[in-house]
Amino acid sequence: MEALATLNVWQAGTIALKTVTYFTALSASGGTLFILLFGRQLAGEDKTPIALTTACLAVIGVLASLAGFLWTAAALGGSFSSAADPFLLSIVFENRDTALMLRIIGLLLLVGMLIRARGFGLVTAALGSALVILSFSPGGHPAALGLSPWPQLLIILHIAAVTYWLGALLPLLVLCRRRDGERFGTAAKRFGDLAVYIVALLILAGVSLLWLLFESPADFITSNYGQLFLGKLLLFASLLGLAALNRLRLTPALFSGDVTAPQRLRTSIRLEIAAVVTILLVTATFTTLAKPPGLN
Amino acid sequence: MRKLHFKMLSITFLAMLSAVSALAHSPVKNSTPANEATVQSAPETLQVTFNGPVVLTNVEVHQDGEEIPVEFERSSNAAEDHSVPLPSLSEGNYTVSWSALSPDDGHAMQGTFSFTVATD
Repeated sequence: MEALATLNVWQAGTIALKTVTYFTALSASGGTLFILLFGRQLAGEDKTPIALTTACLAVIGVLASLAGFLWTAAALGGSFSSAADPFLLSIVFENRDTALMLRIIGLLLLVGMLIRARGFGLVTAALGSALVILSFSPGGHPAALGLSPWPQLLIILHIAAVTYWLGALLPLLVLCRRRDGERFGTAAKRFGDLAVYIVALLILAGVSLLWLLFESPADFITSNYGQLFLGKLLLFASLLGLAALNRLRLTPALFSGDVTAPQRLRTSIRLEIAAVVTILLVTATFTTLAKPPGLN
Repeated sequence: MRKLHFKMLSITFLAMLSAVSALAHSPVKNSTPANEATVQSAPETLQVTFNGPVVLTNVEVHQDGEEIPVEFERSSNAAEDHSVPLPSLSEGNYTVSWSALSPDDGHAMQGTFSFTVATD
């Protein structure tokens, strides 16, 4: 609890806005991927709420990104009125222009799904999804390593994998309500089949990034940044456990006609979302408050 | 099961948050006057050296909670060493608050340090 007392209001606000931005941007981008990849398994009445949820998340993502931009200017000036200071705004923009523009343009393109959730609308949304993923590569600790382009490529792969996983959770939750358990089970199974390879990619890209961010394996254990990363990995392990439970127990139960399976699956997906939000919160916390040993 | 899982997630997060307090990595390499130093004569300038180049965006000096006006000139140039002229300081405890942007990783940083002027 001591840490809560040492956090100042600017840091706490930055962490909160980063978490909201990460969650909404990645969920919106991933929701689009879900519709693109598994749209054929979805009935029209399911596509509409998923597209609406995705578009709402994209709008919140735009607002959170803009709020984060203004909040940084306010933090740099030490007062809320500094959020309107042209000098500070220009400094922040110069530093984050690429990431901010990519993310906002990408999220606005995703909103195109609201207008037309097929054909050209989906092509536009796919482009938006890609831009949102790319927006995580400029800036941040990996980019500061000066090893371009490898850290950026690894970040893109890592974020793309997270997007696939996180983006499926809200659509699957929507689909849980459907009475046709078998069709939902088919969508969940196809998602799970591909997820095996995506998780492998997620882990591979994550481990490679750790190798670049830490000067030696010992830093991973001895540095505070490394210990926090271990904590994040523990949370990730619990997430993997839930995903395995879904794939190996609950999805087969849906096919076998177990009437309790939809409710159990719904609870499990909600827990997965809670675990992901906690992981994003932890990531936002230590990327705001600490630097990896490789940059010290 | 849900309650237990939420408890576990909360405990893990709070445990990690406690570890954050230990991070306490200060981007300030050193300052003149140094943090918690007692100086015999009032300093005319404040010197702050960071671990890497930063854009210093704000500096505030408080004496026992009262803000002292300082002539801090903002610049968009990043540097490790920054110097801020101080007005004539009387005896007392001073707290310096600063804000800066790291151009390397784009992170905004804030920090404080304090010193005492005791002419006796």
